[in-house]
Amino acid sequence: MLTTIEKVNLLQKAPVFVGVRTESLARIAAIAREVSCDARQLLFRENDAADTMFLILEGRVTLARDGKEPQEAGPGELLGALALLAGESHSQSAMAAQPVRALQIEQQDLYDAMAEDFNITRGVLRALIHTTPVAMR
Amino acid sequence: MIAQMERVFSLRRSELGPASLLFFYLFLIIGAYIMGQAVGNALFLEVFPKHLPYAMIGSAVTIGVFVSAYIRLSHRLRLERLVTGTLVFFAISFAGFWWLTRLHFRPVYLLVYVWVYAMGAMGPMMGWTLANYVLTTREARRIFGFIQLGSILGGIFVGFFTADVMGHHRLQPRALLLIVALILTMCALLVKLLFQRAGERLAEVRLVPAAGHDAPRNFYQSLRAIKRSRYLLLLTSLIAVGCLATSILGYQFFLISKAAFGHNTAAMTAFIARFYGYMGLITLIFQLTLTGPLLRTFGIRLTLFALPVSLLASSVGVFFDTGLVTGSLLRGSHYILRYSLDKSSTELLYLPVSAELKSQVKSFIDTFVWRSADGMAGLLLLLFANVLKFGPGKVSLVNIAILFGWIAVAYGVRKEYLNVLRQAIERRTLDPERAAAGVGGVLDSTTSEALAASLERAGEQQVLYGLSLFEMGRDAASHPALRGLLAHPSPVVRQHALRLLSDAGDTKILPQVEKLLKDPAPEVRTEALHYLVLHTGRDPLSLLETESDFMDYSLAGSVVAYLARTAQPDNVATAQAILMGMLARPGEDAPRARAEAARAMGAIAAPSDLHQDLPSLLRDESLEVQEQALLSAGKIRSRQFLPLVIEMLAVPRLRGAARAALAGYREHAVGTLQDYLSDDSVSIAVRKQIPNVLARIATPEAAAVLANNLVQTDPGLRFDVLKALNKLRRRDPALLPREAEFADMLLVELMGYYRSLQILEAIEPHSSSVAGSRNSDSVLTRALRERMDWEFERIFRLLALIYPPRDVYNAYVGVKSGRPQLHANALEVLEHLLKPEHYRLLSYVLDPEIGHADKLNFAERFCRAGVSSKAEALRILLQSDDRWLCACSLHAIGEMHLQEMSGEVQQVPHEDSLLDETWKWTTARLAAATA
Repeated sequence: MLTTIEKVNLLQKAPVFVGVRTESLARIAAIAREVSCDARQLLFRENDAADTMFLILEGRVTLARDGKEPQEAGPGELLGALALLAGESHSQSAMAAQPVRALQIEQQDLYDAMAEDFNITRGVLRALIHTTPVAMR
Repeated sequence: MIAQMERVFSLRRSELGPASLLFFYLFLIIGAYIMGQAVGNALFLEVFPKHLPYAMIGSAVTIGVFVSAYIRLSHRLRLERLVTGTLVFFAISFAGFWWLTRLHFRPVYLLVYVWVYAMGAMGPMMGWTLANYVLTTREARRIFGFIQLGSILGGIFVGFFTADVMGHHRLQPRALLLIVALILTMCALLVKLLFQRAGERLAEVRLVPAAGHDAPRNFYQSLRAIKRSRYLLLLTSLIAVGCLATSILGYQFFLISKAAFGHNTAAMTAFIARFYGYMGLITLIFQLTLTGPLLRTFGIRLTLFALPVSLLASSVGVFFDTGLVTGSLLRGSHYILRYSLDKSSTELLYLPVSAELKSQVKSFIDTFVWRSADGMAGLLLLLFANVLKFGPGKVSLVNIAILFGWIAVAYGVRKEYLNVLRQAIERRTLDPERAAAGVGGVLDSTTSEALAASLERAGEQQVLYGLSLFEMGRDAASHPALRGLLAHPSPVVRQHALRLLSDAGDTKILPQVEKLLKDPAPEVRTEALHYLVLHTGRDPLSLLETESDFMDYSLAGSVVAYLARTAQPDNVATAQAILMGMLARPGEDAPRARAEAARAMGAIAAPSDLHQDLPSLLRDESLEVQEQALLSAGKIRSRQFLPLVIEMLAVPRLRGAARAALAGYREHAVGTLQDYLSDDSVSIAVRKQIPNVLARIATPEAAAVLANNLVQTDPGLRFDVLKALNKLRRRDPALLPREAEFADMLLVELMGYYRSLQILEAIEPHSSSVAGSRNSDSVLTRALRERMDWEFERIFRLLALIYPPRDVYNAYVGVKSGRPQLHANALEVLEHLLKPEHYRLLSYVLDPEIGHADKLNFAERFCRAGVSSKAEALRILLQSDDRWLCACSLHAIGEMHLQEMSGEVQQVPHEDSLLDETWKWTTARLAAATA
């Protein structure tokens, strides 16, 4: 079992949380559940409502989109975050290519945390703005 | 009698004493000025009939010297001594002048002339300064009119009194100088009495020099502010050219009077005094009856020209005929229009100017522009009257040229006014309440048109803002643009517009209002119901029955609110019955019915038995009902609900409603909020919300509570208090208490920052020299950096309370930008903006040219302590109140297997779940390492 601070240490490296203060990340750590998946187990399916996101801790995950070349994601990568924040459906399916350990965050829990702690909202916004082209800012 | 006065003048019992003293002070001081002016002019012209221009120049210079001496003394003397001393000085001077006139000492007549004008400039100014100290901003809005009345009545009464005394040859004119001295002594006694009676109100100026450290504004600063704005430049020119024309026509009037009365000084004194008495009376009547309608009908686009055009006509008259009648017409038309229509129009011109800038510009105009214009008029008259030998009639030619200049400048001001007004409306920089106080509740048609135009193209907030500006006119306002707002998508806008139209008695909207009875928003329905009952005489219950959806509890809620508003026992009982039915309603609609009942309670004024169920609604199981009950509590403002409302601040989903409710309580909640904010036993979740609420209440009392609670052990709460103070400073700098010691707090925050720098350096050597976080940073390093960022922001927020906030914020953004050029510019700004001692302390934080070792050396000198090792740094963090840094330190100790710190780890209190979890993890790691 990871401690809150260990989770914070992992979360702070995820691009979407890079602008969030560590103390506020502890709130997200508190709602992040450690989950394990067997190989070939589906994390989420394309076009399903994006109600969860995953931060991969161990193992590799295959990301497949209808008609597109599958891609792989590994430790430290965050899956489903943008769709979850936008309140949309997943644009690809995610399946464990090997046994996977990950942190799972539910959309409603994240929204609640964002509502209670504005620093989370501001940090996420900052991260998203930094990925936006300068001309569009 | 007292009760009547309280009602008529909106005075409260506690304000009656100071307000009356100020009223009488202004009554007497203006009286002394009118009497002094009558006798001073008559005596001077008797002895020096051709030297009036010299006297005008002399009085301009003397007033400049006196005002400058007054300002200098205000930095050394307490206000009480300064004002009474000045009044006694003038009183002794006039008594001395009386004695010298008995000796036929000729130069004394020049001194009398000059002294009268100096006393006329300084006496009222001191009165208004006292009024500003004695009355709070809110009181001032109500009471200034009453005090102003004192000055008007003083002019009228003393004018007639002087004329009567002179007319019956009871006294020689020069004896009036002794009466002036006596009146001034009475004024000094009134000031003494004011300080005795209003001791608490004047406590802040009792022991310190009259001028605060930031007052008065520097002459060049004011001049720069005016030069920067085309509008202010035009406005200042308008006033300057007006003063110039005033001085010249005053000269003409006195010379014409002199010619008419010859050497009969007593008759001339009586004439001038009676003339001022009549003019004061006519001005008062004009102001009360005609100014408002004229402004509303024609707007300042025309009223700005009323005075120069009428003076043009009367100047032409004087050119052809220098008789006493035409001379009096010239001076009279000036007097009446100048102090009524023109004064109100000029006040309206200040509407788009911020309060701070307005006071700066006004003091510049009062101290410099007026005096310069008087002096300039003296020089012009010297040239035309003394050198070119123009008589009083021919001098009109000079004034006619000046009046054409006045009209041209007024045209420019009018054009620019609409531009700056539009910009101010768009930026929402007009303050409706202050504006209302300033323009005497009159909104002219020019401004109304600009507001109406803004309503047509704006979003909800801007429309509401525009409507609040419409409300600033005390008389009800109706405008076709308002009717269009009855179909606005926002219910608040619809209700607001309907209320304004209803107040204005607009019956053309009846068909629209009938439709609004079915409006989805209850506040709109209640307003519609109120309108129909008021303007059509319909019975609300029968109205309900004719509507098919009687069972619609939202309409029932509106009827409850309306019936309660009538306050008739039968109606209240009916309202109670309807309310009970709503509360007891079963089924799935029950929460909506209860929410509507809660909403209806908000529209009923306290105290009322109809509120008895509100506490249970505040604790209702449905969030919707709770939210509505909170909002209603904020409208009712009853103290009995306050503790419950404050507790709701801890519930995230209800926080917004609780904050809005408390803001609705306004000053009634400030005392209780202070108790909660300063009570360490209250949950931090509640306390952290209070600064925001106080900032929304935005009164000097709320600001004082925030300033007194700036010292907080919880850095988050400290930050929230600072943020709230910053908001208040931006909103109105005058809200912040003058005695607040923000500079001391700045030192504390700076020390905290340098201490964090030392700790970070000890934990991660050289990491403090790198800006920003790195991916490889440990959680502790990153948390420390974040704390330093936070401290840095608090330092700048404190600076923004001491120095101009906009400049400080720009510097902050420049420093944080990470761009060398912006950073350098920001440093440049700060170096010039801050006091040297503040800049020196900050430079070690900001200046990239200061080496890392030098920064650490300075930190050690400043904090008078160093941090010698990583272990010491961790020890400091373990003992700190900051639970997050403490948890991170515990984790770092476990991660680095620092067994030598196991003793300190054991002593860390760990009741908190985060600390407990980390403590257990660290203890286990240290035990495993030992094993």
